[in-house]
Amino acid sequence: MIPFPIPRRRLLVVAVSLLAAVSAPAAAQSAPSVDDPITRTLFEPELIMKHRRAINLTDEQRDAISRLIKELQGQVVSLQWELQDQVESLASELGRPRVDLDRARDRLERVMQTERKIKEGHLTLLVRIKNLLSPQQQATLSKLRAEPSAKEGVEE
Amino acid sequence: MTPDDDLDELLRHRFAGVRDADARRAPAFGEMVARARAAIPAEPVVPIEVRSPATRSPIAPAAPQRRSPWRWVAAAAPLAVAAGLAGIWLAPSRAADREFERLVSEWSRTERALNAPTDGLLAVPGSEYLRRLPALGSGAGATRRPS
Amino acid sequence: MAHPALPPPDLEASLEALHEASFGWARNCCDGDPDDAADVLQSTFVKVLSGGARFSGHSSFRTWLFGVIRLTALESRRKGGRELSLDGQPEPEAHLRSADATLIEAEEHAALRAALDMLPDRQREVLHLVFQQDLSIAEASTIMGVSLGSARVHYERAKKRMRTLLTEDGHGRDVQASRHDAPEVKGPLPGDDTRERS
Repeated sequence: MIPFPIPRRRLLVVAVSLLAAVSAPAAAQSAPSVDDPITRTLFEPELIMKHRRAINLTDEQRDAISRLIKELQGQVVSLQWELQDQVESLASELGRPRVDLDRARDRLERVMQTERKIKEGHLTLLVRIKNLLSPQQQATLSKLRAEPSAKEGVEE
Repeated sequence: MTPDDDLDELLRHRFAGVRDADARRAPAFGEMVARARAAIPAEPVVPIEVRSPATRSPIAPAAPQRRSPWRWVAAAAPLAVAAGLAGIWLAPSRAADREFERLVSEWSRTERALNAPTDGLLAVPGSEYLRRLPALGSGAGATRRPS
Repeated sequence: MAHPALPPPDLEASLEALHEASFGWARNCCDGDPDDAADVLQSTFVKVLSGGARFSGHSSFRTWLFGVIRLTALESRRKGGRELSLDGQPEPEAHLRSADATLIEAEEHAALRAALDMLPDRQREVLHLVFQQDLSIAEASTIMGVSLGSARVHYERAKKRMRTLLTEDGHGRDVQASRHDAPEVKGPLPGDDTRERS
């Protein structure tokens, strides 16, 4: 139970925030932070590409990562379009002077389902990539990520 | 299954085969995009004229000195042959490398655009007060420092 | 409340995600000819990447793109004035699959294409969109530029026809009727929007 009443103005602020969140991607998303407990032990493809010589990425590993990315890319792009439509739909409802709570909840549910699918897909990609790497490769990447100024692994 | 279900099943099966055949037949995406971009009219190039402050006349680029190209061809021929052979040997690996780089760059662009619009709802109203609850048993007026 | 403009996901990535499906749809719009389909798809890419065709977000990206492909194919047909023929060429890489699988597939494809060729355009379109592209009839109606009711009628009539064509003698040949003899739809149906929409 929410201890404080939610003023209508707050709902409007949330609606605007939703739209702003969708339209301001770059600042929100960056490489995994060491403080992020979920992603700090996973390795983004860009990190692996940057340091592929340092970790001696094999051709098989490279091709496997390519296949994984290709598979996920298509799914995520479609989901992003769906998410955009659904967020607009929710924001539109929340922007009314009188909000139908059931309708708003229903639309929120759809947005969250799509968010969940995107997150799950992203996590699946990162886990499968990690599982392709040896413990030594993972250790090297962790070290290189923590030391971004290291010369080793920089592309020639 | 009803007769209609049977027909649906048959049509799905047949069309799935056509779908697979079409997928095999589809032209390479990268090439189509490259050709499309090449076909889009480019911005007109505006020539830039640089004037010398002293003479106020356009500074013409220096004409390159004329040299015979044939001496370079003679020197480079063996290297060209060796490079060609190496290229043939390395071509599949290089192509795979380029594909890898392309896919990773594309994924990075997509990933940067990922966001969870509903994260703003995690800022529950009143949470700023919850962070400053008085600590029990520590005397009147005492407050717990926000974590 | 006016919404701020939302940046779309990467356009090229979106096109790539749908590339094979787009080619299949373009091929359907070109009576099965893969070369014409490639040309139509190429023209579509130019339109989309140059901003000549802009996605406004009123439908799904795929629905919009398929609509652009369909219109581009119609334009191409009008300009070229060519008789687009049914594709009878063998599929590439057929030699990489087993001979039996290839033969069965080839026969099934030929039977399906022969049967589809007997249908009026609208019926062929809706079957392709529903069964090959896994779209709903509602989505198909948007792409086809017709009302949902019309699309449903086309769909039911197409299935009824296909039942006859695919079971007649197992080869899709209907000895009783041809595409020109028994069109089930004479002129546009009520609710058919015959205006071209971008």
